[in-house]
Amino acid sequence: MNVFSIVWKNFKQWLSVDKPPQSNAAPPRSLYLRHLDCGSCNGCELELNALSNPLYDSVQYGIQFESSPRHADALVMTGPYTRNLDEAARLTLAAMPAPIIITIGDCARDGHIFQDTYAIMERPSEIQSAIQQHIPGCPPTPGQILAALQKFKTE
Amino acid sequence: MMTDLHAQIRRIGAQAPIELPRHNPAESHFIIANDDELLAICQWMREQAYYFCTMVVSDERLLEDDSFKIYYTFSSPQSRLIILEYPFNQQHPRSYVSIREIFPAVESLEQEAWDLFGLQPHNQPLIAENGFILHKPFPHNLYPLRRTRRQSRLEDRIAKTAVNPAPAPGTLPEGMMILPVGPIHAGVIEAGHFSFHVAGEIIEDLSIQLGYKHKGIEKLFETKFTLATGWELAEKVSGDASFAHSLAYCRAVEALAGVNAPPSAEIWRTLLLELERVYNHIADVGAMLHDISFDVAASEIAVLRETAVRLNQRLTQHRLLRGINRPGGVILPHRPNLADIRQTLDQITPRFFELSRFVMELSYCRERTIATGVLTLDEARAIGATGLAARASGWRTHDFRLRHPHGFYVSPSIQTIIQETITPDGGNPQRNIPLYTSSLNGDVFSRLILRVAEVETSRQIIFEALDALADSDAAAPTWQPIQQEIQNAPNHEFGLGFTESWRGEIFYWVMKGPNNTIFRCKVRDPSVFNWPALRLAVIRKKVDSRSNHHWENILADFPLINKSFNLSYAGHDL
Ligand code: SF4
Repeated sequence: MNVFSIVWKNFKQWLSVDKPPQSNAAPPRSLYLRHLDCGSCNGCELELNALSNPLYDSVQYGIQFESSPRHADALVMTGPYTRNLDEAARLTLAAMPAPIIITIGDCARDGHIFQDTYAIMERPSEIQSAIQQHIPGCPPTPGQILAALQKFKTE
Repeated sequence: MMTDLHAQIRRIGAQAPIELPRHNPAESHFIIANDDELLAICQWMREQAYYFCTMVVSDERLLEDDSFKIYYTFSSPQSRLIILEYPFNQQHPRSYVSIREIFPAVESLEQEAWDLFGLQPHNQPLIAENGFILHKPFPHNLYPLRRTRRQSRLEDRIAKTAVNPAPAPGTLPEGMMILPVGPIHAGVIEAGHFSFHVAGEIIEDLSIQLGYKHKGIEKLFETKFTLATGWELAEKVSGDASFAHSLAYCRAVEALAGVNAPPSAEIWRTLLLELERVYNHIADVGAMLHDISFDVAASEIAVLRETAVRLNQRLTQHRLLRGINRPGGVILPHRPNLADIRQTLDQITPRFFELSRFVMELSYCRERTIATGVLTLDEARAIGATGLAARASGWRTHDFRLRHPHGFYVSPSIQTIIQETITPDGGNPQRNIPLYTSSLNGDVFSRLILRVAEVETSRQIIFEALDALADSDAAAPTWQPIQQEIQNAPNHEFGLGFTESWRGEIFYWVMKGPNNTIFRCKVRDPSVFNWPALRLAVIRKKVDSRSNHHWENILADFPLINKSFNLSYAGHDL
């Protein structure tokens, strides 16, 4: 058996492995995220950062943070949506390949404790309509965020 | 008490400034009659090494004095807080005399006062545009913190107005270009805008535009909260310093009502404040190691940080220590397990010190961090930098736990522990870590090792607090209702609360309104003073006036320098 045939045999094996498993298990997918701060208190950021420590290690599930919205499958949005960040938030969304937003923390649901101030605004419709998932909590724990993201990834 | 200060102030003041009584014997409150007097007193304070703490603008036009007022607070080297109350003169109801030449740290607060109150200094160039806190989407003369502006009407006005013109870009010297970064950053960080002026790789200048996260917190204190409930908002001002913020707020309300929290509450407050310091310093050391690409150690330190945060969760049922502080003490959800605290710290800290020690001696760590991002002692003092950043520049005693000991910190053993951190090497053979604290000269390395040293200090303080708790009566109350005392305090009485958080001292200035409401609450996060310090640490500058040598940083150093300060955007923008 020459070298070529060994490689070929392995390659065939590799091809067969790549077939999606015929079971109920979710297909292995990844979820690349871009973080968008819309005026948080930075508590939610602490917990998002904790996702990358070895105890949660979100990367092993294919969940990781990207440095450009161009590379991201979804925006992870925190904070109650301040007026001063409105423009930047809309530009970030516009830079996405597909508009998908996951909101993190009670602030990002309805403003939470920061409701009804002159500096917080209602989210424009393009942002509002892109929101597909909300993760509640003040802040949600890394475990809760990770579970919700994994679920989101497989849906 | 007739002190040097009183004599001096009498001498300067043309008609002997009126002194008002304070609950707290360590505070003095003077009313300033005119501009010259204010400047003269400030000048004298500067010479005597007073430290500028905060400037609070308050709209008291509807009260008896019928004017805007500014309350300046200073900390004296003799552990006193001096409050200068400066009512606006009736001829210039919208402008005041600035003390910026004497205390440059006031500058950000003056810019904020222009955006939020529409008040200008008359001895400084006019602040032309708003834009420091309120950006383009807000109309020109909104001035939301004036008492005459109602929350609902503010929103109507914003909805009706057009967008302000963008400021014209300035001109650049030959060969330089501007690299704008932000407000949305390439990582999980908060929002703020940096414009780097670069010539090649070297950062010549940096302008920092914040305010993006402005949420109108100070207005919210007035409109939606009462003195008894304001702690809920205070702990959401800056999430990583939740406990310190709510503590400073509660102290301000307690000062206003003239009560003290029970002694066991003070022990718990110290313990939890130090736990907050521990988890944040550990996280920062990890993040700095990540920035010098030493991810193996950074990952392990991230695990230690998570272990500390889980301890918070077990103690208080919240990972960021929220929901504990109340005016009048602390409310713990259940009786905490003291042995657990000791065991967890014994598990975290030795490994942390081992890793830190290892890293501190690595040549490539030293290469990246030594002489990078230098904030000199002179600069730190001149601009009034604060907290760990100021101490790392060699201003060793600039720690409010030492300057103004309060609560459990007054205990002599704790004072000794804190003193030891700032005593150059070898002070205490018991210390677990060799530290080069003799050379705290304001670079990234100094901030790195000082963080490590302060974790050790906090560990010792926590153990001290645990001993005190073990000795004290377990059934002693940690909270007493102070509703009645708040009720009895006269309207428009104010209280000052401060605490040394892991970033530096946090100040709350709270004034009571009718029916136990909040008339004005000014929050002063340490980041307000340290953002200008960060800029100074980053830009190219002469090593000293004689030599032709420069401190220089390249663009790739910026993330590391920024991390070494780790300032709060949310706490600045409010
Ligand atoms: S949800 Fe809570 S933790 Fe998150 S940004 Fe809002 S206040 Fe902060």
